[in-house]
Amino acid sequence: MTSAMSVKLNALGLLGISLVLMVAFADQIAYGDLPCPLCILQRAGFVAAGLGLALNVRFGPRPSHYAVVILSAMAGGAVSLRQIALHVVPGTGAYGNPFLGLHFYTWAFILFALIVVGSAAMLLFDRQFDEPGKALPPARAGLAIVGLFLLLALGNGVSTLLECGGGFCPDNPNDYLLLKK
Amino acid sequence: MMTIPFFVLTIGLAAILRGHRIWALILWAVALLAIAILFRIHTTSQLGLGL
Repeated sequence: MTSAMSVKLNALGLLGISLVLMVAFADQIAYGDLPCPLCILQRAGFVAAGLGLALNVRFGPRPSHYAVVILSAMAGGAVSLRQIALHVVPGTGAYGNPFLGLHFYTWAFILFALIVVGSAAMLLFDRQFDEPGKALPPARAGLAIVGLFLLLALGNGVSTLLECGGGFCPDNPNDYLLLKK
Repeated sequence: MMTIPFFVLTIGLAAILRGHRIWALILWAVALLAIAILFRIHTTSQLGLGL
């Protein structure tokens, strides 16, 4: 696999993570499904993993960038697994509305696992790392996807600030703390 | 507190767009540390356990 092909695949992956964050936002806005503290940390895990993909898009593929993706996805996966375990306990119910039959934290765990597997699979292709100094300048489309992803990260920060203020978030948030009259 | 990872990562992404790779990696490490600390704080909150 060439460096250029790898950058394209990374851009595609970044677009996929952007879509995940957009679906979460849409659910939050359309159904008033406010994210719990663990849900917020899972979103942060997706943004951190996306930063590794953005590094590949902007600077060309490097093993260290894939390490960023894998470590971030493992951190996010640990949070989602913890939330799944919390709701396995009888009597604790579930959090939020299901999406296609599964709750968001279950989907998050599946996606984090796919990100780890996908990144490890990408690391199998050594030729993408052969020309680190000769990496082509990043395409406009790739940079536009990184820009979109930056806006989503910022949007999540602002949304969390509105929901929780400057402190910790309530376990079962019902309202935006900073929008309360 | 919960906003820290998002804002740090946003600055990291801005650093990527401006061509500052090392700064982006440093900011990513800070954000991951923040996620780990916040996870430690919230990990038992929903069941009200004190481990």
